[in-house]
Amino acid sequence: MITLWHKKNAFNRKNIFPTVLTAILNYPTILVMIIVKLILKFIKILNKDASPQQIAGGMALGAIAGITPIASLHNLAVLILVLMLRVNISAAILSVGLFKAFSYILDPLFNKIGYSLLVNAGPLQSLWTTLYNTPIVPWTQFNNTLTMGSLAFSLIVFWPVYFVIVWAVKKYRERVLAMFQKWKITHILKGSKIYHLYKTYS
Amino acid sequence: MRWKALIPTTLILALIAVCTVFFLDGWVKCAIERLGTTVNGAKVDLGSAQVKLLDLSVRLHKLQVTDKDNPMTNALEIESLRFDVAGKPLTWKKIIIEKADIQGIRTGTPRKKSGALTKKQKKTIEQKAAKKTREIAKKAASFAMTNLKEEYDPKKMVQLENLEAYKKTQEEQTRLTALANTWEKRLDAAKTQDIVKETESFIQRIKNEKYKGLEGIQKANNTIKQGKKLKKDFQKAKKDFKELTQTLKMELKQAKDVLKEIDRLRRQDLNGFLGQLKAGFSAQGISKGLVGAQWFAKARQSMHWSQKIRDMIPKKKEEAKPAPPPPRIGKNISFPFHHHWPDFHVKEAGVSGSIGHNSPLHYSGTLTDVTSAPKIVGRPIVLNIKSQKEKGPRSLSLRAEFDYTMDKPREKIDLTYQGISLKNIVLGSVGAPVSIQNGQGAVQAHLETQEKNIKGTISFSAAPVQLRHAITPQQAKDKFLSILHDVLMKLNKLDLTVFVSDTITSPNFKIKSSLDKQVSRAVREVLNKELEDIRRNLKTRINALVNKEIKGLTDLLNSKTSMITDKIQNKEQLFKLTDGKIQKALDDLKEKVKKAIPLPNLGGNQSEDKKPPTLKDLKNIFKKK
Repeated sequence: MITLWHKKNAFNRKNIFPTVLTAILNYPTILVMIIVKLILKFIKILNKDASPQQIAGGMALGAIAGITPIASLHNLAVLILVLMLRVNISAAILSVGLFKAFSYILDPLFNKIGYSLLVNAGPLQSLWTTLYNTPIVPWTQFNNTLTMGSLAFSLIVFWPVYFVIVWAVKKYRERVLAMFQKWKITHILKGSKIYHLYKTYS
Repeated sequence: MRWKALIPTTLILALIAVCTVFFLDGWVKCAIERLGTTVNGAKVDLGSAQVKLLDLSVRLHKLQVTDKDNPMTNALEIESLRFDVAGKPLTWKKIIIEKADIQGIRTGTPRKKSGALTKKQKKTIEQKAAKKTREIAKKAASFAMTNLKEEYDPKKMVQLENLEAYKKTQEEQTRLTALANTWEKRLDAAKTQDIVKETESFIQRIKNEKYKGLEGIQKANNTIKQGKKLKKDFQKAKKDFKELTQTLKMELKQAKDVLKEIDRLRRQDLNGFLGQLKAGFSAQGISKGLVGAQWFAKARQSMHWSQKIRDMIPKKKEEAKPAPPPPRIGKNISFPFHHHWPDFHVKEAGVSGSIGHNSPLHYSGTLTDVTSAPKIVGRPIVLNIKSQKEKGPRSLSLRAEFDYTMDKPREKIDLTYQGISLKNIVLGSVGAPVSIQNGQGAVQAHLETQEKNIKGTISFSAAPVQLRHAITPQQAKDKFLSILHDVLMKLNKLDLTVFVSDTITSPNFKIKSSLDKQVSRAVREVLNKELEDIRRNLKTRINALVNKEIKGLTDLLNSKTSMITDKIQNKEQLFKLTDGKIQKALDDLKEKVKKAIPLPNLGGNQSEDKKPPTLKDLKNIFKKK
């Protein structure tokens, strides 16, 4: 199918971006495969590969990118932080997807927060004016109510998210994972071909 | 900190930057096509886009905007566009285009592939277009006349439910019947008979009465008292009846006035139908049918575009309490900015293009100060276009000024366009479709708008011109159509002036055409005769429908009023007679009493006092004794 699609759309430097995007959207299998791969990887790191702090750090940073509009300049800083800090990248990517869905519901609230900060918060006005008159900063869209509101919200929830996830991962490993490993079915599954295939694949 | 990740991170970021540069052209092309298609409602294609980051310029080639009503044609085609963006403002997210060049603007060019979006959308567009055409045709048909006698058939035009006179007659018949009943009841309620009978019996009684002695005097006194009371009651009843009669007579008069009102309504109905004839059945109507609908449609479309441009300009003032920001998008809040830069500003753009396909008329000009914030720029948007030859058989000159710098938006358009090829332009329909076979035309327009008001003129003249009026042999037998056909065939000059006034949203167009004079002169005779016939037929039809009803109403009114009048007269007569009788009876009674009872000398000088005793004396007689 993909080969056929390639034949139809001969390589063109100018057309590659929209065509790749269209291909992903038209063939949901590719998208599903990427998501499955990501989830499997996350389960693996959740079980033992990474420390709870690394997972929590990745998820908390991913939460910023997920809650705020993705095409914002500050997310470039988030990306650099994810790459440079010792945080789990898979957790960060998964967190972006999870928090994106969550932020969609909270958009009206973010708008209100952003509006209050940009318009009603008197003492901050001089700061906003300075930022507005500083080169490059306007590209961050800080003066947009949605961007400002969601960024403020994501920064507020950063540490709570971090600590909750550290606690949750620890609890998971102590109780849930231990409990799973005691189950007979786990042993049966571990001995099965499917598990071996999974191990090979992952 | 992953220090080891520093190099890979830098590499990733560099890769992102390289990819951005590498794919930027594709993104821009894709964005323009998507955005354009959404706005236009049909495909917008772009041949290529080149974004040069070093000299900050954008070049677009072969921009095609599909005409959504005709997907195989481009509404607009631009060969190349070049924008030189100023670097410094861009760091503040302000897009200031220092210089732009728009070359090769053409309209109505054919497309190789259909520009319709999808089959479903195409169907919707075609349906809309068909509907629009039907509307225009209908409008033209109403202005012009296809088959006069059929269109203005009195039987079709005049229906009972459309006649005010008929409706009023029906209402009045019911009302009058009810009213006549109340008149009768009110007349019967006046107890004339009772009082008359009582009076009669009293008169009869006193005729037979005899008065003797003191008892006689007593009796006579009582009878006189009764008589006086009766007379008083009678007078009261008479007075009440008189008042009732006056009221009834007034109401009867009012009822009769209804007939006058119905007659007035009948005339009004006739005038109404004749008014319809005047609007569509005149020489002006024919002109409007030929050219009016098309002009209206085009002018309305241009008004619509004017409104669209205005909508794109930010509103004049920030509201005191702004509306909540839209969800999913948010709202951009502006803060004091030390540079006088709007978000978007094209300082100057050179434009050039051509009109027509076979022998194109090339033009060039400038477009200045297109901006998102005209108040910051402080200058109006100006479009200045001139053809290579400013004068001559083919020339174009256009100056359009869109001033949104003040609170009240103002637009001004001056256009002179000579040498328009009119070949195969379809006009309206007058019995049969009319089109221009050959000819050259010129347009001169001056339009001005201020806030919602619009005023101006659009003059169109075509000379020499040759029309095509395809009538069938059957239609040629029609005297009127054949005369009209001759007039249209001989026509070699056409002048048309459209006066635009009122508001942009609902402009008023008045058309003055040389065609009016030519057609009216030729067809006046036929037209007047036809009109007269139709007038007569209409009158006959209205009369036939209404007269019967009016006669019924008149009969009802006459019968009821005559009955009431008779009753009133009878009663009045009765009152008159009884009134005389009661007075006579009382006089007779007095005389009788005087004769029957000898009056004693009450001590007064007999010789001096020889006068007969008065009623007072009789009353006081007992007191003295």
